[in-house]
Amino acid sequence: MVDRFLFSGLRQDGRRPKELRLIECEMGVEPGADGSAVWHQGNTVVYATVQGPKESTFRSRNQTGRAQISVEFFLAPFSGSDRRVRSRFDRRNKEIAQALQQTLQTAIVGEQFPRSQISININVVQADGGVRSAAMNAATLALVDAGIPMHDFVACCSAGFLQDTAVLDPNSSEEGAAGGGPGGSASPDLPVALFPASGEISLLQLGSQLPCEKLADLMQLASEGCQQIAALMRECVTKHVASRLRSRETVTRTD
Amino acid sequence: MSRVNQFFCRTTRRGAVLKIAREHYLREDICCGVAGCEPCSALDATIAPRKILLPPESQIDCLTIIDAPTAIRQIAFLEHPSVTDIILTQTLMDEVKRQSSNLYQRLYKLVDCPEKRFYIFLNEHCQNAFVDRLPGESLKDRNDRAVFAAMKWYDEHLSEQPRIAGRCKGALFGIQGPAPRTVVLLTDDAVTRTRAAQRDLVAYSAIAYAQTRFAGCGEVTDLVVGPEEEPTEAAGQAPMQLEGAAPETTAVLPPHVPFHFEKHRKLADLQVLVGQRKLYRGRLMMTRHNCYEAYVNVPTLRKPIIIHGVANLNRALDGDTVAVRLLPTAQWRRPSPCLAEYGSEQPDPDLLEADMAALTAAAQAPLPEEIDVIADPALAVAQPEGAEGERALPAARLAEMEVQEAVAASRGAEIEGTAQEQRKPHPTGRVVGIIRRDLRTFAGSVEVDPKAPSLPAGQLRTMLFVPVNERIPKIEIRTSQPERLVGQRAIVAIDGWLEASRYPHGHVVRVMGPTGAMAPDRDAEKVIEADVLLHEYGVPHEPFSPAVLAGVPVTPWIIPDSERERRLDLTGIDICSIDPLGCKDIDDALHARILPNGLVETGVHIADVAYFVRPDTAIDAEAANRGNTTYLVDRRFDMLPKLLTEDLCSLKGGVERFAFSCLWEMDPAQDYKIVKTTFGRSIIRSRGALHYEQAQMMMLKGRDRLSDQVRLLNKVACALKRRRMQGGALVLASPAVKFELDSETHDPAAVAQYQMFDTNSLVEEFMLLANIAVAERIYQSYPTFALLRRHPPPLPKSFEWLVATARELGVNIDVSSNKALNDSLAAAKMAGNEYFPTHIKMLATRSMALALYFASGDFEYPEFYHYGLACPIYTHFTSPIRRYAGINKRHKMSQDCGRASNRVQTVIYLQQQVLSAARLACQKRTELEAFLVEKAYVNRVWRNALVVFIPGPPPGAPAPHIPVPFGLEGNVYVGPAGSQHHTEHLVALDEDRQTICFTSVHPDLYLPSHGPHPAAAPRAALAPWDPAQPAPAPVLPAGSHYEVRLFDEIFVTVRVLTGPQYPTARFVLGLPRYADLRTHPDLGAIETAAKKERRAVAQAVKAPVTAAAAGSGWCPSTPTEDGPWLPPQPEDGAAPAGFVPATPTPSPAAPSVPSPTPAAAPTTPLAAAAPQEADREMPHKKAAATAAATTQQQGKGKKKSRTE
Repeated sequence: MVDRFLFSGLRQDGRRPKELRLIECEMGVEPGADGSAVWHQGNTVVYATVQGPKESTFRSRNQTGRAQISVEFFLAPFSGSDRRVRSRFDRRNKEIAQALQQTLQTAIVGEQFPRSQISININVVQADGGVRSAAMNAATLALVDAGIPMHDFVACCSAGFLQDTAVLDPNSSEEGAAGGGPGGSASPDLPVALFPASGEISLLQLGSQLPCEKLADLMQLASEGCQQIAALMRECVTKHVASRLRSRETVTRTD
Repeated sequence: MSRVNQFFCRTTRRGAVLKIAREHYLREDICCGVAGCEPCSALDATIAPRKILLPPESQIDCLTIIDAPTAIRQIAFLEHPSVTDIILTQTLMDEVKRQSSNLYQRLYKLVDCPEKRFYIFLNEHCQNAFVDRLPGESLKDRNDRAVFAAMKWYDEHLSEQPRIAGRCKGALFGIQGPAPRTVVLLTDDAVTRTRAAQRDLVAYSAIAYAQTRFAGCGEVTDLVVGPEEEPTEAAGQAPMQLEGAAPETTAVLPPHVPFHFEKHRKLADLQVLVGQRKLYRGRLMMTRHNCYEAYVNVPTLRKPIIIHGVANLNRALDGDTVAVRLLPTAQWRRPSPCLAEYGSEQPDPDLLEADMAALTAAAQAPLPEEIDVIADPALAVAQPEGAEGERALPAARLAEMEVQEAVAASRGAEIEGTAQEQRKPHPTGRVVGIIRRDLRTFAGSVEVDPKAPSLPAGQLRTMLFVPVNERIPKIEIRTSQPERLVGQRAIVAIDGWLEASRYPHGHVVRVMGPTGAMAPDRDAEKVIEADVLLHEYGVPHEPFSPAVLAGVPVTPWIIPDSERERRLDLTGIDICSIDPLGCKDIDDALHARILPNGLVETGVHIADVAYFVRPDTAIDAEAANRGNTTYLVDRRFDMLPKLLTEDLCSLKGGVERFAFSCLWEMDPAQDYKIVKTTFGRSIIRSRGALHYEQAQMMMLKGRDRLSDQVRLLNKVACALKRRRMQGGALVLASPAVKFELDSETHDPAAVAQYQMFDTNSLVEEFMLLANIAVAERIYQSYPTFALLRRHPPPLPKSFEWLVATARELGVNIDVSSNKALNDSLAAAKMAGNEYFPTHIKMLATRSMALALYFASGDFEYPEFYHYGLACPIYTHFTSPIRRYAGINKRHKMSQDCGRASNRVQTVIYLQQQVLSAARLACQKRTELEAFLVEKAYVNRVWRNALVVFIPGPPPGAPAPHIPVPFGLEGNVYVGPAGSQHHTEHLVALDEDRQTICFTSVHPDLYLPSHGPHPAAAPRAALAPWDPAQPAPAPVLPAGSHYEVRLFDEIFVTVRVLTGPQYPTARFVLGLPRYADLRTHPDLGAIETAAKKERRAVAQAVKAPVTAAAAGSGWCPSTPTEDGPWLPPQPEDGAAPAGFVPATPTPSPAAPSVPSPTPAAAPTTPLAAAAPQEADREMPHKKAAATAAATTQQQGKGKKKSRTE
């Protein structure tokens, strides 16, 4: 084997197969928005902002008794290694936006805001793999920041499969590595989003071939990753709330 | 775990620069790999290393770390089994990987080997050993610091554990002092050593290290590559003297020629220049027939770039990735019409002179500057602008267009015809740098120069090593033990090629064993030669590993009941297998029976290997790696372990075996049209493992049930074949060539005149049927990933030359479709050349494309077409025991290896036969040279040589003489008077017509001409050589012209060369002379004599010696090499008298003791036919028989003395 993906048990960037990248997150980064968050996962950086709930812009579109989520997803031209401007109608962006929309729709308690819409704006500043899951996590935190009632967090993490080894949270070079899939196709990448409390899976996507018997392993691995991420999210929210409360105290005191 | 980000820039193929940021995590939990280290063993077991260094048990008392350049240079040393316990840093592995994937794999193999105890220390991810590259720091400096940091880390890490630190004293390497120093650095770089000393670290050069650690072990220290000669700037002015090497090196060249190659450019510069399209990058491929000419295929040019001559090759070797500069269009040229001779110094005299001039000029001229490259418009070439928008300079663009135009012009308009096109010059270039060396090792043997002065033992001595691979130049090696190499086959690695050196320099990696004249016996020689072939063709031949053997079922293997339930029980049917004689891996069986409804049921049963070889097991991985069973002439290298190959999978007679069966119901009323097809796993019991001849006999004469079945099978097969032929399938399988189509000859090495029975064709038809049926079925089930096999139609271009030459001969070859081709080949006839139909089929076969495996999703259905078999879809379902379907490369290599093996075996056999016979007659063993005269056919005509093919006797025909050169192909060199291959003066070569024209013939030379020519008479007279007939007078007057062209039938001499001056037995072809023919031994008698000799030795019977009878009618004539030929004087009565020239030799009638044969005589005639034969045929042979008896005894005496 010419190219060993795992070098003495370490991945190319020095992680073990089941380790996440370094994750940093922060809420309330965008004062102008109703809710916002930034999510750093390794070299992937995603900003999410939330506007709403507000009245639907096109009233005819939402006459349901629930709030509708609309997601716009932007990939900055400088986010990848080569500068590339994507059109607004880029299919990949649309597809990710739709996945986010559908998943988050199930997480929010929409009944509280009939005939209204919540718009989420996702900006990927740096893309180094796992963009989809980073966007999902950022959006969740932004929703929390905006005070939208939710059933649970949506924690999302992907797992990949490289040369017979299941790996957690692949970065862009691992995602693009050939030979992972059968017949040398692109390596499979399986993002899983779940509600950490119940373990209920709300998103599961797979764009390449994967032997059936490996699927369960990958899902298991990704779910474990999600739980780790959920813990980080909880911590982040707690910290954020604490700091909010503290600032409130100071405000009250000055009053 | 902390993180640093690493930034680096990468250039894409189009030249765009990408900035890539990559995360790089640093961790605390990196193991040191030392046995007994507690903190490390406390780490998670899954991350703990598998390999561990053992300071107390190893010969040294400290750890050894090595840096990358040294590991690359000293890989052979590291590979020696006694060199153990080395730490490789991750820095090193990255560096090696960057430089050569081959070396990387070799190094990794060492790491994987538990006995070597090589450990990779992951310093790049180790928190405390990581070193970031400083701004402006060179990579080498950074890597040096990384190694030092790793050493420091070990010191600190181990000092925390006094138990281990106490063992690492390092007294052997003179480590002293209070500071704990546990590691010694192995580096060949003096600068690095100085730096280490400054940091208070211990560093040794490889040679010093080896001498310290392996003192007195010459075998190991010899593997160390000596110190690098620093290329001196002044080298251009004077021939460079190699340190320690000496007269031998300079003796290769005339001392007055300052020999100097053009300097290679730096790698970084090359990459920039290639990116700017000023240079071309590609893989260098040497042509097979001329090791001084190479091609570089460049995607941007429509024709490959020719690199011609030593100076232009500029030290590049076959397989290297090189950067090429195009020469000005005025210097472009056509591919050389010459053939280089193996091991010859002068392929083409004018070429070498030009080379010398160029090299001399290069020695004086300064290195061309970058600016020169740009200034020369022919060199600055850019690719057409891509969609991405490459911004090429206007000047470069202009230049690009010029070159494209020149290339287009050189291609010539298609309407002009390919002949004209071929005459146009090709783009020609010069190698200016080597981007990546293809580091392989080469098998061969050292050249022995008898004139070289013997040096005292122990002194380093330079020898020239001749690789077997004709595309690789000779290699200079230095050794202190020349006697270890002479007469041995060895494997050599190339270390480098200095600018001032004529040859690359290398070192011996392994000595394989004695060969040629040094071999103790022929069998040993065969084994060694087989080893050489396996190495050269990269055939895996190691014994199966324990992990693989563990996967083989236990021996008393019983069919499990669960399988009986699942499988179709066909044990009641009369199934039989038909294979070559002695075949043990029987992977197919057949049956046919008439069903009650009148239909005929036929079945093909293929061994169910997949039951035993499950996916993702060690056995499966090993089989995929081997690809297929490799058949050498005398040995077989199995793809699967023996138990599976010969027993459990093999469909032997009388036992129950698992099979995968295809059953067809065919309607005899409709010419056996298939009505129904069934597939299924089954259990069968073969009624008999037949061989082809046996089956043939049964078919013709048998009266039992099985015979009836074979007859029925044959009937069906005939119908199938008829239908296939109508579809346009090619009949290209000539009896002499083995290729893809006959999938059922289990002996791919049988380039020999394989005797084909009807039953061969029978089995073949059914296998094809099964393969096609399975292909259709799997494609139906798996439309995107069925493994199929396709054979693309040949490129019309590859057939041009054959068609053109055939047209000259009045034979029309139609290549428009496979059916047209087949029909025209079948109709091809030439008067007076009975081999022509086979010959032209053989050459057509060579012009074919190769068949390939593919996944059905990769191509459209029409492209699945198998050209050779004329079927729309095909796969390899049959022969699972010996073929792992789906691996393209291995199959070809293994076949080539089998063919090469056949060639080697033939030569060895020839040598044995001819020489042992000649030895009987001639006492002077060292001077032996014997030859045969054989009928040959011209395959290709070059300016200085003819490529001929010797088919040997037709199959089935009783061999009139030694059954030699089956399918032997070789070159007959011809050259102008005065040259090495002095034959005659060459007038002209017409390449398009593949015709060579000779004139001013040496009166003694025998050459058949084409067309109405006086030479027609001798040809007829000579064809079946009968010593009883007087040789005809040559009717070729000097100065006459005649031609030899493609397909011509000529006679050639096959000389077998042996003796200490030849590394191994070789054969040399030449054009026979009348003198040769005159002294040509009676070949039939030779064999009998050889047999007799053996028998005589075995029985130890002393034959009566009659001195008077020793000289017979076959008394040696004494032909001198270039002496005038004297026409034989026909005498009345005794027929052989015609062979005795009327020169000073004694009269045949006069009994005399044979005079010692002069060295110049190619061989001494002898006759040793059995007396009764002689009685019947020629009375004179009675005397000869007695003579043979004498020689038998002499031979025996000799044998005795040898054994003593």
